[in-house]
Amino acid sequence: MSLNVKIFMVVLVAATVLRFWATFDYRQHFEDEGIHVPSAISMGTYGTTKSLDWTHPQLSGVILYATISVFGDNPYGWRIRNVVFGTVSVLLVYLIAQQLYPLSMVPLLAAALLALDPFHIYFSRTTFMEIQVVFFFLLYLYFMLEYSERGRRTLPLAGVMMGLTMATKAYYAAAFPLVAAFAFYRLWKRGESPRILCADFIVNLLMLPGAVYVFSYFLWFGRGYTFSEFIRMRLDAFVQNQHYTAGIYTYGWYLKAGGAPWEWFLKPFVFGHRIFSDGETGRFLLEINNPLFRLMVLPAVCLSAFCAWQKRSERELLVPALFVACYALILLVNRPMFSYSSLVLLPFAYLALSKAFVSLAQRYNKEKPAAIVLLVCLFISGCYLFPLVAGFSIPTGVYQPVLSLAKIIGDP
Amino acid sequence: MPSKKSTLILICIFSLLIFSLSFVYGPLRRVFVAPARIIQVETGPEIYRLWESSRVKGRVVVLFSRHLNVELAGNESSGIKCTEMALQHGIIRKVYHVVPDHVWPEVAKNLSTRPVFNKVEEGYVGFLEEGRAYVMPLSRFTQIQENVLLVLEPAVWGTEELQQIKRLITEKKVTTDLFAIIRGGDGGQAAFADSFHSTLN
Repeated sequence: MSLNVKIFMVVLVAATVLRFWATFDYRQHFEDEGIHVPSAISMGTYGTTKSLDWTHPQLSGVILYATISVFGDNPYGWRIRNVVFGTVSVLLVYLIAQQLYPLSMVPLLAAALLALDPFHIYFSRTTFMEIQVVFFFLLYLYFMLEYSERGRRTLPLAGVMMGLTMATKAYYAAAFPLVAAFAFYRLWKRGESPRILCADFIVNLLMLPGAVYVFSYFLWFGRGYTFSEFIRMRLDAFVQNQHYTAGIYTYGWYLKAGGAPWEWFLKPFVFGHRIFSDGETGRFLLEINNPLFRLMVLPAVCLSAFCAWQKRSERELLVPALFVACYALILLVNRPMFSYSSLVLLPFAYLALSKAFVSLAQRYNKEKPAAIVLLVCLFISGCYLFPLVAGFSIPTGVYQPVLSLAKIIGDP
Repeated sequence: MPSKKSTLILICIFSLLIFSLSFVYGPLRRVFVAPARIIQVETGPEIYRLWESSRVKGRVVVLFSRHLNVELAGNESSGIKCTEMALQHGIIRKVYHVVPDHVWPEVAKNLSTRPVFNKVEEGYVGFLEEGRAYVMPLSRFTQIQENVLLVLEPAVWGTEELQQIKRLITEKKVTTDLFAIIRGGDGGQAAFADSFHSTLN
């Protein structure tokens, strides 16, 4: 086992610990858990949600209902899904980076950035569907890369994951065709027949995901609906989504505190709840957008795109292109977006950041020492911020620099 | 391991099976009442109890009433939202709410301020818990192809309009297996309800 893999194992253990540790101790619903859990139970019982959530696809609720059925209507049943998906996402980022940037420190750094990211940790400890959608998309990307780069027969699996991603939320609508075009181009360049590729792609990346998507609505169809009513309902959901304004949300402050989408990678955001504070000690549940690293993402995306363009490497261009495609969709969509939507950009953001960092370090022949320094910084900042996203008791004096930035809003 | 060609064929079969099931699974899950029944109820909230006890499921409801949830019918003013509750619990999946023409301007004005309702040709359509609710005046109601749950609140209709509703039923523009007539507190509509028995059977 190489040193790189050994360090990655440490990162993976850290990712697991930071997502599992005391996650189930908080026994009330917190934030949107009060919407997600009743909606999932209603979906499992009656085939429909119980809130504004009906405009979203149903798979998130179906999986949440499954975990509640297994573990009970308690914190384990509510949160285990995201804890597992969030942890495995770290592994997937590592595997994807190995395909895109082999024989470099990029896989390790990208995995560590996600593993120790306070924002990703915070949401991996809740019921938000963004963790699930990221997980399924990463699996889709991984299987597509296995298919296009290693010639393995994973295209049907990619099709299933594409269906599951779409059945969770539509964030990656622009990313699917991009990945498919990339795979098509790579295989065509290697001499595959375009006619056969087209047939493969139509069946595996159109029919199969479509079937999986429709199948995810089986509880809803059980309410007596037909396929034509299903199409109409999805169109209704699209129309309804266009009508959403900031005013309809009960927690308008939450929308405001997370910043507008264009600010997500330009400003530090720290906001959330105070569970307890007596001046010297306190317990908080804060969303922290990891400013130390997030503010470097946009320059890193530009730099990694520039390097890929110079090398004429479509493989290295894929990550910045995915980041831009997904971010553009969020920026252009005609509805308010909450800060947690930025989670879907984090894998690409951190892959691009790691690539840019390694490219710079390579110029000075210092890839490994620079990577180790970055890893140490990541561990220090991750461990420092973790108590704030996990609701642990902290000495407020030590955390004054972060707390002074925080917008605190009452109970969770 | 199956060949690439057989994998493609298997995926095609699986996908076509899922799409075909999506056409038939829903209609197969609907539950109707046999033989058809006319029931007189005293108040709006009793309608929900009637549907629940009849074990109907996945149905379309046509309400000839003033309010969507018929909560103000009879002497009892109830907070029970029978239509919304039935949508939530999978008893009904689609609502046609038909109101008297003379109250339509007021209803349309109310609906225009509600973000879940959009203007359509027939009147307004609202999205309630994944079920569509059409609201329209009687003059714009045409016909429904499916056997529906029917609710009539005679107290809010004039004689001429009641005859028009009766014609819709006798001409089979609306067919029903469970017809709830809200008698209201005075029971004055009993004779009127009786006159529907022959049309239904």
